[in-house]
Formats: sequence, structure tokens, C-alpha cells
Amino acid sequence: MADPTNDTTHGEHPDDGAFEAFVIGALEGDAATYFEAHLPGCAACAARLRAEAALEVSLHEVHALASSAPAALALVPPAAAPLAPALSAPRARHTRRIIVLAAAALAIAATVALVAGRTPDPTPPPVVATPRPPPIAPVMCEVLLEQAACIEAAHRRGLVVAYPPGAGAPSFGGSPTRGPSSSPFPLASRKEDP
Amino acid sequence: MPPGARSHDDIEALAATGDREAWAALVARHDRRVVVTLLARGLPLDRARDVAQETWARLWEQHRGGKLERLELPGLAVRQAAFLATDEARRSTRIARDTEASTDATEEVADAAAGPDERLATREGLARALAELGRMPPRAREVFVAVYERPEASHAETAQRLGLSVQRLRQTLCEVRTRLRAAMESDDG
Repeated sequence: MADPTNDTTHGEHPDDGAFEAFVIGALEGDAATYFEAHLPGCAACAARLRAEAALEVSLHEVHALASSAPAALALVPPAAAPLAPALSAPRARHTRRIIVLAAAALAIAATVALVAGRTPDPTPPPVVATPRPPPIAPVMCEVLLEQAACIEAAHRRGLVVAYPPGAGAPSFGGSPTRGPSSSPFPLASRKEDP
Repeated sequence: MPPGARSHDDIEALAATGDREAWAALVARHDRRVVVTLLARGLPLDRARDVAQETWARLWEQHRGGKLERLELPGLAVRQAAFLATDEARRSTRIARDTEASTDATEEVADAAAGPDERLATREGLARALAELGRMPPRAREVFVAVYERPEASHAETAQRLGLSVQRLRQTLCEVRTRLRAAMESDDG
């Protein structure tokens, strides 16, 4: 079986930067034309594009987390104890996770200051450390038909579902094959919805 | 004034009144987000484009029919596109099962029905990315926030807002993405 990474039957693979440029909307002109012509016949490049698109979706999540910084800040312990050598493996993992989350809190503070156009206060008031849950990235499982899989996958990733089953799940009218008059929109903003 | 010369807010307001030109301009601004979402779900580029086009057509019909109170874009379009992709995947899977034939194309769309993509970052990965963002120079963070805060804006518009050249904006954005990618992919054990 041929190695798909060596599949050049549709010409040379695009440059490494082309995948990122395509996803962020910076691929233009002949480069874009070549990229799109090459892609349908190249499984390796299709996989790379898929990975790049997944990163882009994740970066939107990162931005959403940064935007919800005030709430997240209040939930995060400000500092972690030094990692003792005698810690058990699960405890060490837990402590490392707290360190990561604390670092995330600092990042959030800086980002919030940036968004608000302020300079971070050089001497911020101390935040009392309380055992509260870490910041969460809510997932919107609004499409009723895929809600179960959505929730399951979100739980596997450790994310919180903003629309649990039966609560806030939007209704829709039927199969998309029925035509526009019965379009199955997950109509969060339909007038008839409460 | 042509839609391209208007601000995004003006285009949104005009599209809300049913102006077809403004709607086309709005689609042009949000279409990449929809296509990228579908790509991340595993659709090939040509199918992602088709599903995105179908998405916009349905939204336009709903909008013209007065069934949408607000045009919450791109969220509404992303959800609609995800629904169409899932529905298509299920129908393809059913057909394949009925005919006892499995094609590559069927597997491609069936894979798109998996809900939140397993290739997306974990909660820890997102936290690491946030921490990495905090370690970046203010200008880099500013570029990241500006681009992802208004993804419908063109790079030219964002660059102008930040007082940068388009080339500089894109260079900085790619540097930020590289660092955040590495942060998300690193293992905290």
C-alpha cells in the first residue's frame, strides 16, 4: 500500500505554511488555487488541513475562556505549593494541574487587562485560596440529535456542557431533507422559542 | 454605498432588513468560520463548502420568512452546519448499511458525526494555552485577542485597527498560533 505522505500524483504538496494560511484566511491568489486543486486527491494534505482546522476551533475556545476571565479568576487558586518529592504520583499530577491552572489564571488576568485596555496593577490584592473548581470551558450541545454524543465527548474532555439534556435544548422541525419550510434549525433565536 | 464599503455593524443591520447584497457580504465574512468548523469535524474541503452553502441558503430562507429574531452569527450558522453534517452522515451510514457497502466518502461524512471533535484540545491543553498566552508580549496577545474577538473582520481591517501592516499582523498571528499549538500539544503528565 502506498504511503499517502508520498502521494504526489496531484503535484507537489503545498508549503507547510499553506495549511495555516488557508485556515486563517491568508492564502490568496495562485497559492490558494493550487492548494484547493491539490487537496481532493491527497489524503495526507486533507488530514493536515483537518488538524489545522481543529487547532483553529480550539483557539476560538481559548479566546472564549480568556473572555470569561473574571469568573474564571474567582474560581482559581492563586498559587500552588511546591512539588514535594515524596508526593505520590496522583498527588503530583494533581499539583501540577493546579500549577497549570494557576498559570492560566495569571494569563487570564493579563488578557483581561489587555481586552479592557488597562495596564495590569503591579500590586494586585491577594486572592484568598479556596478549594473551588477550576475554570471550565463550557460546550454548547444545542443540536438535539447529536446531544448525547456531544455531552459524552465533552465529558471525556473534561468540559462542562452548557445545555444539559432537556434543559435549554432548542427544538426543531424535522429532517433537513424536507425543504426550507420545515428546516430543522437548532433555532436558539426563533421567535416562538421562549 | 456598496456593502463592502460599510462597517460590519452596518452590514448586519442592513442584512437584518432582508437586503440581499448585505446578506451576501455577511456570508462572505462568516463563511470561513463555518467551513473551518466543518473541516475540523472531518468533512473534506469540497463537502465542507457544499454544506456551508446549504447552511447559508437555509438561514436566508428562515431569515426571509421572519423565523429568526436575531442573526446570531456565526454561532447560528455553525450550529446549523453541524446539524446538516450530522444528518448527512447518518443518512450516508444508513444507506451504506442497507446496501452493505462502505465507501471512503461514507466514512468521511460518518466521521463528522462524532460531536465535539476528539482532536480538539483537552481542558488541560486549553489551560496550558491560556498560560502560554499570558507569557507572550502584550502586542502578541493584543493581536490574538483582536483577531479572535472579531473573526469576521478581514486582516486588513484588524491590522488597521491595531496600527499594523497586514503582513506584520499575519506574521504575529502565526507566531502566536505556533506557541499556542505547542502548549496545547505538550504533555503535563
